[in-house]
Amino acid sequence: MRILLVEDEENIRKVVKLNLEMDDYEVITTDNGKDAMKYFQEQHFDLIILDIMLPEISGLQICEQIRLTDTETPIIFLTAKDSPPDRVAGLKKGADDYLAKPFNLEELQLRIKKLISRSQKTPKLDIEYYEFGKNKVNFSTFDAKGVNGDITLTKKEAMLLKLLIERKNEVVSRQQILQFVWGYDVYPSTRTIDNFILSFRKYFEENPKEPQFFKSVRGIGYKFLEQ
Amino acid sequence: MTNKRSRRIKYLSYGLFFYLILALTWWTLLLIVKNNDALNAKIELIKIVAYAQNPDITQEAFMQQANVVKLKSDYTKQRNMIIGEAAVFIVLLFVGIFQINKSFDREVDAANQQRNFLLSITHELKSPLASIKLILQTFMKRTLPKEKKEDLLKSALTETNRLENLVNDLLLSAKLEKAFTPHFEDIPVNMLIEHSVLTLGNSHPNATINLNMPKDDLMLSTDKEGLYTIIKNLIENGIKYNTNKPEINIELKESPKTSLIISDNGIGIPDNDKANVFKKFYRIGNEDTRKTKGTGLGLYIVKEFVRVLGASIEVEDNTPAGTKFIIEF
Repeated sequence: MRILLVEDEENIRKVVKLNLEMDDYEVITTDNGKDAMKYFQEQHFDLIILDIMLPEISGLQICEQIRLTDTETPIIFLTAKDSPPDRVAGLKKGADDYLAKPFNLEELQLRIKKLISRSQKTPKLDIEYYEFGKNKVNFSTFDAKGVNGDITLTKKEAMLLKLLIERKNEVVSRQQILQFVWGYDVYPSTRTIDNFILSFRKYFEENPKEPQFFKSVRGIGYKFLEQ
Repeated sequence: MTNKRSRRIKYLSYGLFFYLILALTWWTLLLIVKNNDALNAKIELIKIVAYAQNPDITQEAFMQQANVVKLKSDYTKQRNMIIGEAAVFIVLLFVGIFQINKSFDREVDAANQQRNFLLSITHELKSPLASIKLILQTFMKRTLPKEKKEDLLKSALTETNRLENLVNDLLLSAKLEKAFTPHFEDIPVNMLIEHSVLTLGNSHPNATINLNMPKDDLMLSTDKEGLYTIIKNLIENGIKYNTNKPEINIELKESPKTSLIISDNGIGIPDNDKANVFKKFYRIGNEDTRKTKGTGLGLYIVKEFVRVLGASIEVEDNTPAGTKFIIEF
């Protein structure tokens, strides 16, 4: 389990990190919003802890930015601002929890545990057989009959295809694909996914240049489209 | 939110004042016109009577008639009175608007300052407290190796010192406002400066502090603690608000007036904030995206000490960058 901790108070950052690491979490820390955004885009986190008063970009802005592309990763605010309007503002920006400083260590631990266990709904992906258009895919044997002939899928291809089908008509982000199919926590900048999508188009699309099923969504990820 | 609301109230009051002036002008003009009409009507009436008595009377002779002259002068007086009244009313209205606006701005300023104070003080009080509490809870909950324990204890001590400094600053500024009597004595300023620089240099090893003082000791009748606090706060400010390698220059001059000039190569103070930096709890910028920690008390304490010591302080831009504080005794 990986946690991103954004906190500009050095000692709080140090001690929270120490405690979470003793609870067997992997903790990535930073003291500013700019790095926080960078880490968020490049890596997978199971939970994010944000301070509000930060240099340059406030915690509220970070939360807002994250929620534009990711509505699932739990976010906890950990801040000295504790008035009801502050709490409301934090929750409105899309945070899941709000803890005011000074806080109880145990309370923080419990809240983290609860939020992480709730958000861990890995896709089931128990599809064995799927048909779309003129294509037939048998996931138990990895055999597929595509419009352009018969293919045997590789394991990774099958996983990616399952993931896209499971979430059909939704955009699946590059990060989610890399994390789920390849098991990366730190996202390499690779064209691997693009190549997989290109192969899928070659296998299953009547006209690979104008795909009907495998669409890419610029800057975000990919979408499996089926009416 | 408060800003938006106060601006709305301001626009509303401007609207109201504008309407008042318009209405007043309109009524004044109307009154003058009616006044004129009444005058003409009365003259017509007298004319009819005059013609009835003497059909050959000329226009000029008629206008010279005593009752007509009196009537005209009465009406002129009345018109002047109306104009005068209106002018006084407008002047009073403007003075009123000005006064109300001024005190309104002051109120808004005070409210903003209060809000800033609450924000920075909340952060500054709660952060060290949160650290200390967290460290103590960690100690209770975990078995830690010896080095880790020592490291955490050191952190807890640092945070305790930070809290202590803040409490001291708060108490000092409260004392300065109400019940501080300076203890004047003759002090060798050179020695005091050298001593301060030595102490501060030790706690900020990355900063360079240059001294430029006359060779002979300069004696000054002043309060030792006060002068030390002034020097300390200004040097610390120069080091804290700095993105370069901090370099502080301290210059002591004897003539024409004894003056102490402390300049730094820091980020400087924008012109429109120069008047504000000495205000209590004032901090430049937005509290939510703050790069440095602070309470907005440092320069306020400097200003209050300068006042108590009967000196004056000015702030200027330093060249090529940074801020220059000039204190004249």
